[in-house]
Amino acid sequence: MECREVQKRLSAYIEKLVSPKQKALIDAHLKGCKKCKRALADLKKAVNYVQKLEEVEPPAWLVQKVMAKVRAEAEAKRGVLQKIFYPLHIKIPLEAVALILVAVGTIYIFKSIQPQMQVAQAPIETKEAAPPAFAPGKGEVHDVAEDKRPPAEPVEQFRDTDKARAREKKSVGLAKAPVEEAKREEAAPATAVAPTDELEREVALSSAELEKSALAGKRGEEVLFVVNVSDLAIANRDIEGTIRQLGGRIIKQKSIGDKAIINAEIDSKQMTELFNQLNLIGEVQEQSAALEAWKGDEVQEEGAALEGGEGDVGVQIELERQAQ
Amino acid sequence: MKGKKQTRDEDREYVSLCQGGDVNAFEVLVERHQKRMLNIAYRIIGNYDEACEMVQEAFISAYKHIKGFKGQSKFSTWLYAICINLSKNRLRQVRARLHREPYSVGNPIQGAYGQIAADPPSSDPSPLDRLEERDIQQKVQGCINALDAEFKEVLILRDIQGFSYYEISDILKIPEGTVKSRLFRAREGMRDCLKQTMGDL
Repeated sequence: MECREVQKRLSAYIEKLVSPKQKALIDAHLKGCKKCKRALADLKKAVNYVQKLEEVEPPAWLVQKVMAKVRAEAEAKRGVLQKIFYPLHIKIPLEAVALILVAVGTIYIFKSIQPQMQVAQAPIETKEAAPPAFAPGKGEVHDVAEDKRPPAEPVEQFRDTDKARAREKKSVGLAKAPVEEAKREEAAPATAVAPTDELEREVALSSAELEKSALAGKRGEEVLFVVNVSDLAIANRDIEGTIRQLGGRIIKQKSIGDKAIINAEIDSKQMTELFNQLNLIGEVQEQSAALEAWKGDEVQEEGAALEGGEGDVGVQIELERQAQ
Repeated sequence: MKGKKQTRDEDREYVSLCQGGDVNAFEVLVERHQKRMLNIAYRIIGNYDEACEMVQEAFISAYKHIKGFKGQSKFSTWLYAICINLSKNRLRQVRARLHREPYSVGNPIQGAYGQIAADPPSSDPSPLDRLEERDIQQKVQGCINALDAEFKEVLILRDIQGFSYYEISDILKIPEGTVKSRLFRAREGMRDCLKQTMGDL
């Protein structure tokens, strides 16, 4: 091996990165060549110098300085992120303002719409007012029936039984009482159907009461007529025709047994005419005080009536078959 | 000597904390790596203050891009690569500013940039020896400065920092064979340079 070749491989030789065969050749050459031996020694020394270089220590402030910059960086980054994504700091006031705006807006819209809504609701109110006028009557019928019965039953009991038995029963009476009450309850529905006269009266009374309170609200309230007729079907048809003739419209019709109820809307100016027509169809038994109010309006201030003419008035006509 | 497949990265835990936005975890990483980074930068640039500057920049750059660190290599490898690149760039800028030609192995001493700021070893007894030791260190650094960047970085990582060939290949993104051949040339360059500077080794 020549010196040049050996010297080319000296670094690898130091790092032990030569093949065993090459190592043997280099070893053999180094034994006899001072020049190459020196080159190897110099190389080792040079590496040694480099390896012996002292380490430098970082200054104490280095970490602080780095971290200060890093924190500033993180702050800036977070600031941007918060503006976009984080709900805190920025968005909560926004949300609050939005909520208040929505609330104020809703109230404003509601208030500005309210008068229209009242106008729109008026006919609906009259519709819904009708069933309650009837329902309480039914409830009272029950009460009446039950009030009537109890005094009757004890009398019957005393007739059927001996005094001794009654005494015996007295002890058992406590136990039997619930059974008797149950019987009474069973009896109640049966009696409820029977006395129609009472029912009608109740209905008439209760609706009259309602009308009285309704009168306080004056216009827009329902006017009630109770008409006695001989034939429900014919009267029904006639009244329908009359209402249409007078420019009104029928909202609801229903008939229960001997009664029929017609809910309609009619121009307030036609109210007197309707009353007259109803009188021709049957016998107007009752009329709510509201009608008087209407009549009074027409007489006293025609201008107002004309004004009111635009608003239709709810009318409830109750037809009853005349007892023959 | 062949580098094993990547060993456990003791920085991983703190790196993921940083990635989750924990700034304090980054401080741990700075504490851990600042010294090695400073020494690498210092040997590349040859100037202590510039080296400190580079280390700061490297850490801040690493923090900015830490979310992009996917952990294919060790965090330290990634960090040192940033530091080496920044230092090499800075050195180029400094030299361009000084209107100096890049150094060659041929004329090592003239225009050596930077002084050795390290304190001499306290074990050294005589002031004369201390002076001599300091002189040697300066001359060695001068020769390192004279090396071309590609040889210099390999020499620093291998003979000063003691990284394995595998690690160096990972940091510098060059094959291990290239690492070795560059290292050998760098050592030979150092030998020739030191011989020329000091006369006898």
